[in-house]
Amino acid sequence: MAEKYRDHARILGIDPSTTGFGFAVLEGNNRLVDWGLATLYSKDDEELLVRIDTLVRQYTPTAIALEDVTGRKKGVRNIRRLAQVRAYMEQRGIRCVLVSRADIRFALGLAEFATKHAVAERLATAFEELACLLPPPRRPWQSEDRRMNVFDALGVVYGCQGIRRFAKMNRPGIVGGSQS
Amino acid sequence: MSTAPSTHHQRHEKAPLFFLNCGVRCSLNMTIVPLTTYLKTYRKRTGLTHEEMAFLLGSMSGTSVSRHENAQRLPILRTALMYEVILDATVSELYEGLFAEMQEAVCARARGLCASLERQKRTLTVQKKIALLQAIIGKEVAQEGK
Repeated sequence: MAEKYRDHARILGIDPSTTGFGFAVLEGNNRLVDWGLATLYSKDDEELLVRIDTLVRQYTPTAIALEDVTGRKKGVRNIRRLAQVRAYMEQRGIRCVLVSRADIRFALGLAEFATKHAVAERLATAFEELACLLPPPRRPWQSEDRRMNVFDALGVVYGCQGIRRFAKMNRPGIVGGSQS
Repeated sequence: MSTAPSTHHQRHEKAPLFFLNCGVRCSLNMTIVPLTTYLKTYRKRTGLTHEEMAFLLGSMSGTSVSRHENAQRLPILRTALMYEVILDATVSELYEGLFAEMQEAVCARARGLCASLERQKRTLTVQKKIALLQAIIGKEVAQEGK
């Protein structure tokens, strides 16, 4: 058993929003184990940590992937929640990996300025089970569809896996999995 | 000098930074224990709800399905086979962690039994049993190598 699952990682991606959070669990061999949206009913952040703790106990992830919001415009509550999740996980001894937007787009082979919808579309193609969740492109006057949280969470996990794959190669000058 | 760099060039400029980042942030290669059950994964892929699944299983509630998915309860053989029919995956795929655990336990016992049989007189029956036990042990080794 040990041999079969060597070098595999089970990564939980979390993407908090104002009303809840999206999550996705991906196993090393690109198996999407679970995904979904959780709604938080209280405004305090304790509920968020309790809900994430349930997921952690259920899936025992190797690491938690979160979005790297350094230098980006984000809501105060969102930044606070990300910091709290990170602090809580580190307190529990679970490693947190911060994944930037560029890492996600790089892992998916998209241009650096690709839209969120393009990222979601690419993920829906890679993981057919998510195709039914893909919302239509957002219009400028519309607020973002809640379902995008799932794609954001999966994006950070996929970006994290991309970083792992890239780190495994351990050779500089290799871009997108092929030698330059 | 050239003006705006192309996307291709931007990628190549980005790569070393990306590489430096991953060197700092990532060493996640480790062995994971498979989940006891992947029922939830397979069910969600089909898009069925707990209640719909319970209906297909007959005389069960959505709560029971949820308990099976969270590995709080193990289904009886009849229900497990029904899961196999509905989700189009073998029971060993649906209960991957449990299967791996059982396989390991059986292999450990097979090694013990094989060792004791090898000390006995080599009749045709004993040889047949040893061959079977070695196949069981070999099966696990082959799966590990995959």
